[in-house]
Amino acid sequence: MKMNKFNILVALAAVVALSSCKKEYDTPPLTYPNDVGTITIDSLRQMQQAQGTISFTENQSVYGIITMDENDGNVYKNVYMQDHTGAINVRLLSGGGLYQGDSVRIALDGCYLNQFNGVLQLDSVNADVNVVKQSSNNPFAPEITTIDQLTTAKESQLIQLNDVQFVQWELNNTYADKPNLESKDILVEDQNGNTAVIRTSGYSSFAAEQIAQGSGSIVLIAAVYNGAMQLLIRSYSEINMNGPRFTGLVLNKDFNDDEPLSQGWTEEAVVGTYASWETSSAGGAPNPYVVISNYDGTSNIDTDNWLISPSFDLSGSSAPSLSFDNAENYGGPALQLMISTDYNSGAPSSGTWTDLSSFANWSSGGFTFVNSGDIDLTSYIGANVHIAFRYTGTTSTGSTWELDNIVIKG
Amino acid sequence: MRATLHYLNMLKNFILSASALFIAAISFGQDTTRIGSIEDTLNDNTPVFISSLEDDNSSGGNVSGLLQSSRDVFAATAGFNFFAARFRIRGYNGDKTTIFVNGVPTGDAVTGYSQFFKWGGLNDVTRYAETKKWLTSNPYHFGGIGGYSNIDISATSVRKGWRVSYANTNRSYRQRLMVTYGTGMQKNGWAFAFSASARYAREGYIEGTYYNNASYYFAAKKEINKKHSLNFSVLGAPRERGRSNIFLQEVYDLTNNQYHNTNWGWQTLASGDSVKRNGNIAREHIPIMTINHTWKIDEKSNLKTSVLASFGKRGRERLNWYDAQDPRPGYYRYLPSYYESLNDPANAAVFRNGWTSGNPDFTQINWDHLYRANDNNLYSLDDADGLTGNTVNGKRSKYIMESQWSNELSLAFASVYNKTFEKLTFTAGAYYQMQRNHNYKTISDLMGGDYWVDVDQFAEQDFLDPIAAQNNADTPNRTVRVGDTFGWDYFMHNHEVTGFAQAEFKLDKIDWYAAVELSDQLFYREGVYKNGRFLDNSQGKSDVYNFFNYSTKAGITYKISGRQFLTANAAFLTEAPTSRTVFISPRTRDNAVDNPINETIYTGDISYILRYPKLKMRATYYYMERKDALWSRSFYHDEYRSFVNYVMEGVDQFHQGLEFGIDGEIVGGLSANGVLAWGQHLYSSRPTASVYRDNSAELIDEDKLVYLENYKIGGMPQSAASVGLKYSGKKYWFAGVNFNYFMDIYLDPGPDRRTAEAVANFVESDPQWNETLDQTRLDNGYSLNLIGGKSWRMGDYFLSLFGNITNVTNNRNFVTGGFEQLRFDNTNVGKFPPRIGYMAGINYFVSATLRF
Repeated sequence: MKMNKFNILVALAAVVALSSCKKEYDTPPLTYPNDVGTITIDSLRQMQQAQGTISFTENQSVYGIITMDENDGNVYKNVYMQDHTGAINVRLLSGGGLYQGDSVRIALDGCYLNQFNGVLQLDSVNADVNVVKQSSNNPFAPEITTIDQLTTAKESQLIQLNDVQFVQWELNNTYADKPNLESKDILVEDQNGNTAVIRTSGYSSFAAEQIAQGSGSIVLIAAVYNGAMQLLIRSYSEINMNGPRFTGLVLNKDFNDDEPLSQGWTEEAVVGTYASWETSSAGGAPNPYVVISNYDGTSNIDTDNWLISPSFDLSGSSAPSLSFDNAENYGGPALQLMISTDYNSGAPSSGTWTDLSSFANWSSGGFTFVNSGDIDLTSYIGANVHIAFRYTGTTSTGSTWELDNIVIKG
Repeated sequence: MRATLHYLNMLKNFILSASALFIAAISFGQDTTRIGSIEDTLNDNTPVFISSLEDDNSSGGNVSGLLQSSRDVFAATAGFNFFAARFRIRGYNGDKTTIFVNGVPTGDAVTGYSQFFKWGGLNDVTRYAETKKWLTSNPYHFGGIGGYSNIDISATSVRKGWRVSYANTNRSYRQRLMVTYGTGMQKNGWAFAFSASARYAREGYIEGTYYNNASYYFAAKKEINKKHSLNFSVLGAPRERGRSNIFLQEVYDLTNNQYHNTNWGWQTLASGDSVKRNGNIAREHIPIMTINHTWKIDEKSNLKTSVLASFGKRGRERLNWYDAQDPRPGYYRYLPSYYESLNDPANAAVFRNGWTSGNPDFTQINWDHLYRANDNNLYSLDDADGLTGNTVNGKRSKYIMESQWSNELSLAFASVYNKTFEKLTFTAGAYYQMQRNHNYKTISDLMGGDYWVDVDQFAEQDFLDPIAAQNNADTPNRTVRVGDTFGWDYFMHNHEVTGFAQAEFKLDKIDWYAAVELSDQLFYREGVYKNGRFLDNSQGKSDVYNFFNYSTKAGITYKISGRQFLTANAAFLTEAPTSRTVFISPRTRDNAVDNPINETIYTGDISYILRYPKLKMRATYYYMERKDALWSRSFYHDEYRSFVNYVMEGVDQFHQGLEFGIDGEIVGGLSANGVLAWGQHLYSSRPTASVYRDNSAELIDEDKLVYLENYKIGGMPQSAASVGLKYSGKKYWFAGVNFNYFMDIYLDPGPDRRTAEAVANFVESDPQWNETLDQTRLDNGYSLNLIGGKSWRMGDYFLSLFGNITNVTNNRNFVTGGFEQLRFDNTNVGKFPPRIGYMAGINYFVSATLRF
């Protein structure tokens, strides 16, 4: 029995020892990439412009502050970094690990420097291998600027716009298409009628939020896409647009999306089906406009075709005005500018239209674009206003008409 | 002779001291192993098993070792020779066989399964379990339709004297030492027994695995008087294992190793040396304590009453990561096939070279890299620990080792009354069990970092409201460190009460029995954390789910002669769904399946049995239908682009088959045996599925029809056969050989691939149609096993040697099972191929046992 008890005790002691004995592992000796020379973001830009894509095989280091991270989901596997000479888009091999306010050294061995959609990009950065964090939570103030000063010279930099608001026709929409995870472009405007595009990812955490209703400030990354500004909201909490709205754009149809009938525009072919409004960039236009002609290559076709705007609300406006660019060639019937306060949809004859053509400046031919000038719409203040461009031609004659930048200010 | 005895006494003392030292020593050893196959076998051919393939999400994963002391050649062969192929008798899961300890059921109330780990290693105690593997009467309780085993752990169950054994093997563990002592019933009315056992492998059969186990058992029994006796028993089996996993064929091909284990990696020590560290560790220690009272009321009746308590810890330690790359080498984006599917040959080549060259940066966990990532991740956490303006600076761990605990506390009470009349034995019993499981996570290792933040990364991305990401919304942005509880924290409460009665008649030509059971089960969840996504239904008690059930069975034996029998059994029962399936995602909330209902089971068997001294045979036909089962799992759904909870209702199963076993003496000591199991195990309904978004409980899809009918239940051979020879020599030795063949092995069908939506983009003539719908059938396989032993008697000392070699031909090409990944991309059907496991190559077990 003695032996018996002894063994039980030993066994129990062993059991206790076993359950309390957990292997502790020490931190292994860690090595970090060395730094064989510092390089600024501006120098990177010049290197890329001179040499094209560069594949780094040495650990030169670039230092900077992370100005935008992935936390709000508006960018993925991407962050923006800025130093005193400029800013750069940093594309990560995998998401995570770099946060806004991090002061970092990026050792460049294994990374690429290239242009992606016209943007300088440091590519293939492994956050766990190339990046050595210096400190976290560093304040970095955005540069306060205005829409008309936004150029690609500010590429990828952190900016702030004050006294701006989202355009009126987007107010019932969300920042992006969350259900389909699709990105969306929204216009932001200032009191001078300048606009800029803010692009938001459908994956962003605020994609399904309703667009800010008032005016105020917003912090953005001055992102660029193939030469055009495409601003990025860095964080939903940096949209401070709760002030009263100012008089802004009511409607802006620039056809830059290459769609003649987006944003609720409709086309009504009263007579003839050949002629139709189509987008074009012919003649070296920097971006698309819309064009119509009743000439099918051999003859003219009898046509009465209306390009009708979506309903817009002028009831809150004091002195609304309309302007647009137009160009004409091959002399035929004039394009007519119409306005209605009781049209809803369908055939133009279902509404009462007033001809405003005489208030506009019209192209005198040769495909030369002219601006219509500001056309006063004060007489038409109401909640349900449509404008329309009426194109007519006959079997013996017809012009080619082009339209662009149809803008209504409230 | 005297000298021999003296020598043996010395040896005895040596072994006893050595065992004590060994047990103490192994608790300080550690390191690397693998999940076992066949565990133990003894002269009497009574294996005890542990599961070989784990981690699968098929319900069949728990092959569960059957305690097998039946002399039935079919059951014995199924237990030992068919084990490596994951054969399951009648295709049943482990929950259909009830394991009793001293007559008290020990199934896990949460899952229904028996918990073999509770007594693992105590083979000297569990060896002689009384086992019946089919529908039968039962002297303890109504029991399962797959039969029962009763482990007697009372002090008198251990044979008087010492028993010391040492075993050496190359399976999940390498060495085992066992010491057992029993006093038998002494004149003073006391009996004592104890057993200690230790199993150890620095590295098991599979690379990177390890095994540490030390088990203990003690029992005392007192015969108070002729009518009353009391017994107290305690046993426990603390164990820690570094685990292996089964993987994709692609990984086996790339590494040219069908046992490649991605669970471990090298970690550099301060000295510059590297050690193998396993990233998937299982730990269990849930001892059982029981007090049993036997009252012999009179010659013909007795009342046995037991109280059983079991409580302890059970956890799984594994990697977790935040805002970082998946650290597991087998993640699909680290395999060349992923880049090939993207038409990216450059990256495909990089990964292919990494894998085929055996570069551990590709084939194993890169611990040093994870530490560096943590060390470099300076982070300032604002408003930390629920305090506005409180900023915590430091290294925020991106990678941690965390322990997921499910700690059990159970109490059971069982009382059984037996009375024998002239031709009738009457049994009635009552049973009550409460079980509380505490489920939570703790940080095991911050791996060089300073803190971890208790937020959910996916919720952070999905929701704008920062509270939604909080796992514990009472303390937002909580920083947690080693030992702290985080992630989830809840209790699952289960209660069950049953009453049963049974009558057994023994007549001249006919024996028959009938039994009935009534039971009531209830369970509820009790949340400790208020989860930020489920502020209203995560903390506190959930609704209580209550199920009333009844079971009936009856059987008859017709005695054609004293040597020939015909038997027939039938049972009809209803069974409550388990709390594990009813709660859709208990880690975060108390949402449950709408109106869960009981399952219904019909089953029956008929047998023809021969019992001659030199010829034993049984032939059985069985039939089982299971209706209205629940099935729920969680996985990433590519079409919904979300982690989902997937619940199927109305899952029916159909099992039928033939069992045949024959064992006969041919000549002298030579006998032959043959076993055939032919089975048909099918899903027999089209269940409807409901799909919930895990992060919001949003019902994404409901009444989704799953075309599961006539798919085979996977993960086991539906049919198997064995032929063997055994020779028993006159001088206490024996040797045997068995050839085993396994047929009709399928992978269990993933439900979402069998829906109209899964093939919506295809027409029947597209190859993707069949690729999506067809069930994977594995090749038939075989194994050859040898077994042998010899014993000697020297005075009062008995020495026996025993050994077996399984898979003698070293057949390493037999895929014994696996599972379809539930994740599935209908635009690229092969993107998430099944995980499969191969039968282990040749392996051995030898043991030497000294009794005195």
